[in-house]
Amino acid sequence: MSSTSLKLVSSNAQTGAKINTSIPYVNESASSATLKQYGQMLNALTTNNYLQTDRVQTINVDTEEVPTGNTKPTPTITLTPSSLTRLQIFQRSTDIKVEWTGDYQGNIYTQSIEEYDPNVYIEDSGDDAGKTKMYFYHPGNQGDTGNWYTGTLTGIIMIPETANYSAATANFTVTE
Amino acid sequence: MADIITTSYNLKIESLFVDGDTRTQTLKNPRADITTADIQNLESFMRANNIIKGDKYGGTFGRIQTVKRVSETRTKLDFS
Repeated sequence: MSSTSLKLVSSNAQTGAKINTSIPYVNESASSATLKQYGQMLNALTTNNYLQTDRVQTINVDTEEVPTGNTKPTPTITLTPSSLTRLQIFQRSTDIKVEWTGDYQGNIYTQSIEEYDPNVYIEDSGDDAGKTKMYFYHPGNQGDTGNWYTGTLTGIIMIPETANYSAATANFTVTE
Repeated sequence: MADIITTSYNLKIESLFVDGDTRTQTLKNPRADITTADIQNLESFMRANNIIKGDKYGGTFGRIQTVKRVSETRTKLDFS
């Protein structure tokens, strides 16, 4: 459980000594302006000089669950080039190099393009340093383009979420 | 040396929540001329913004129940 409290900081008008007044369990949805106004209204009931109002978030580490906020880094995927013609894929004349930031070592997937042509595969580069790049290829014969979907295909390179990284995607296109 | 006697004042604002819970806030050095209107303004603001919650069940603020100006006298005994 977490709770929000208000700390009113003022000073003694005679001695100048700081006075901290804690008001626990304030409405966590209240705006800072509202909390400030409340702090000033309370202080106005005293002879103290108003200094500031703080919003204080208290988290009980004994009972608090793991924060749900996603703090994992998201890899940045770079495709070079980010598009190919279908003939280039058939000819395997141009590879698409896929690079990403971080030390992610898991599998990388494609989406969408298989819906148009299940014969397009991605191939791990086999790089000794790890999966730092991969290539697209089509097992058909050169020039055998008859089964291709006509038009531009848009695919997505996807890194799935892992314990250390958020999911990441990048788009590539295959043109006629 | 004689005993040293000091007096301090606190304002104790007791709030009542809709679930019956109560909470008391304490402010040091209250003004001597606090008026009913001062408290009513504070109460209206607290209700309009539901600014504090009950500390037992998180109940919604209802009203200010009592306001007390409390004096506390301390005597520091002289043992010399």
